[in-house]
Amino acid sequence: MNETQEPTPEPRRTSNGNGNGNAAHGGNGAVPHGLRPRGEGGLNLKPSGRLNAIPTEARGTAPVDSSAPIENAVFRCRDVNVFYGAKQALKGVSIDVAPRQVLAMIGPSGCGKSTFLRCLNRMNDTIPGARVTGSIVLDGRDIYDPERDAAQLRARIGMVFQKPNPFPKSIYDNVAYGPRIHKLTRSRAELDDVVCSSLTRAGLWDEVKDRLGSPGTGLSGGQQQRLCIARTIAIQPEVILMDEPCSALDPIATARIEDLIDELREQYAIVIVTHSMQQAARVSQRTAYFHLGELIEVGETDRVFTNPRHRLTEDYITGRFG
Amino acid sequence: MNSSVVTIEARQAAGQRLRERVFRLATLAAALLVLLLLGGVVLSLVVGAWPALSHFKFSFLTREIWNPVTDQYGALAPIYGTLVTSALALLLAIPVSFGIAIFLTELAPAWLKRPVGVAIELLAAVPSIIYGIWGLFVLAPILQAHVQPALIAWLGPLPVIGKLFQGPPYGIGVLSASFVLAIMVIPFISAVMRDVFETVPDVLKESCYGLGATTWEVIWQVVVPYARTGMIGGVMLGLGRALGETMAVTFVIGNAHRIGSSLLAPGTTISASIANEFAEAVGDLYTSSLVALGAILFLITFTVIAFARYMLMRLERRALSNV
Repeated sequence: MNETQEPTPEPRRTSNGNGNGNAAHGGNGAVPHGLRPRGEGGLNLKPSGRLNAIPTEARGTAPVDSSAPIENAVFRCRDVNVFYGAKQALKGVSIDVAPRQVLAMIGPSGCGKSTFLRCLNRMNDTIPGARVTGSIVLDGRDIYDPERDAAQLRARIGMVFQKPNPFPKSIYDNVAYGPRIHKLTRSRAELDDVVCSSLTRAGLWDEVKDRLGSPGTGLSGGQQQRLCIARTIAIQPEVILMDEPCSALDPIATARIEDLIDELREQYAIVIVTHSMQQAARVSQRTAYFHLGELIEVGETDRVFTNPRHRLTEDYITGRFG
Repeated sequence: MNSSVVTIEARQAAGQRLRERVFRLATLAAALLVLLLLGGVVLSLVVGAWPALSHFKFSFLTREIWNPVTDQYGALAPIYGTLVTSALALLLAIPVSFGIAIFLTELAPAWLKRPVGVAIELLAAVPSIIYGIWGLFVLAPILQAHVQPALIAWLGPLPVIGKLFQGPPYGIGVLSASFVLAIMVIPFISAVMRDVFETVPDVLKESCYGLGATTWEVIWQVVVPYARTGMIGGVMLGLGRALGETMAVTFVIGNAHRIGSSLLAPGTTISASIANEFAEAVGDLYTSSLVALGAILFLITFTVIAFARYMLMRLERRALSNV
């Protein structure tokens, strides 16, 4: 429990919680945490990346985690570092993603939250010069294992992007795209069913059922984003990653997407990056706060917002910067 | 006092108006100059070609004969040579260029992108005479010794297309010219294609990757459909260059005014004929026939570009109506 006070070689293990494994679902806010790193050089965020390189007086930057490890976690991430060329964008992040729960990632621009999200489905692979170290384990195996196929992996991990980006195809073909390339259906009737149920679950069916053949790009922004969500759930992923899915939408469309996220949570693990703290508070059960590439604090959403344990988190959620 | 200020302002305004007027007229003149030049070229081609065209009438386009001794001229062989070498060159160059462009934009590791990209640009900067010399002294002997005998042996006996690969392996000929042309247009086509592929928005590619698509699927289902218009533009640019290329082709095509049934046989193109014969053309009809060849080349190139524009316009309109 006092790990963060001892300069042990591996202080980033996230087992500083109650240690009895009962923290499985979101942990509990009553986890004792000896260190309250307020006013203790907490802003001294050196880009050293490895904690054992941080001098004692700067240990206020150690992550505060009241909920890990999660026993049946979907993802177990340990000491994840991301480099874009020589620049380190993510520094030693360790976090678990729980099933049937929304994990919100908040933090100021450039803090690495989107970078981290893109690690989870190896989307960073498509960026030249990007390098990921550490381990991200999905069902017992590291997703960066060279023998694991990135395409197969991404088929299990859906992603919704900041800007609605339907393909320049019909609404039907947009949703049917994933099932088609993965040959999930055997007949046209089966495909029709998948398209219908995906659109229904995305809350879009009633609005588009009479014009499935018209282009997906002709829908409104909010509808396009729900189409993208339908497209994602059509391949029956286990996890859905959302990268600021509402930042391009008006408040009404945003509310619809948030309701949808709440419904989808019953079936999927959802990781959402958001700039809106209100949104994080509304939709998530756990919240992680990132700052300058480091995971500063993660815990039950209510706890993080009402009783942040780290000075930086408090400064951010009270609007002192960011 | 007040009135003098007003006059100064008025004078300044007048000076400004005059300057703007002069500037506008100057740019207008520059723009008109282009039209004037184009008109001049067309006019001089028509005037120069008129004696031959009026003498041979339509048969100038349909006859293969080219005999300065009897003053009989027909343009069919050079037209055929121009079209066939260009078509073959594109056939060879398009797949290679496509591969280069896809590799450079989607597959190449970052450290390899720049060297290959620069090499392609350098290839485009090599003067065509160098390609000609290289084609004649390096490529043609290799083709003659190794490639053409193999083509004759394997493809010659085949029905229909066998005819294209029969006869002696000269080394120089239509096929060799096509090879050289292909090498010359590859840098152009691949550079344009690469630039076009780079305009494909990352969000579109990522949405496809995000659904678990392979790189192959992303390339064929997102990148290529999005870049189709630009790819056609690149191909047309290459075709324009292949049609008009003179020096390199003159070196390796053999310059024979006949239409061989075999691609290995020597032939000629319009620009090669003009370059070869203009200096020694005596007699009005001979000179005029060469100018007429030039007019035909102008017409072919113009048609190709007009057709390309039309295709692009249609594609754009369809893309717009899709959105």
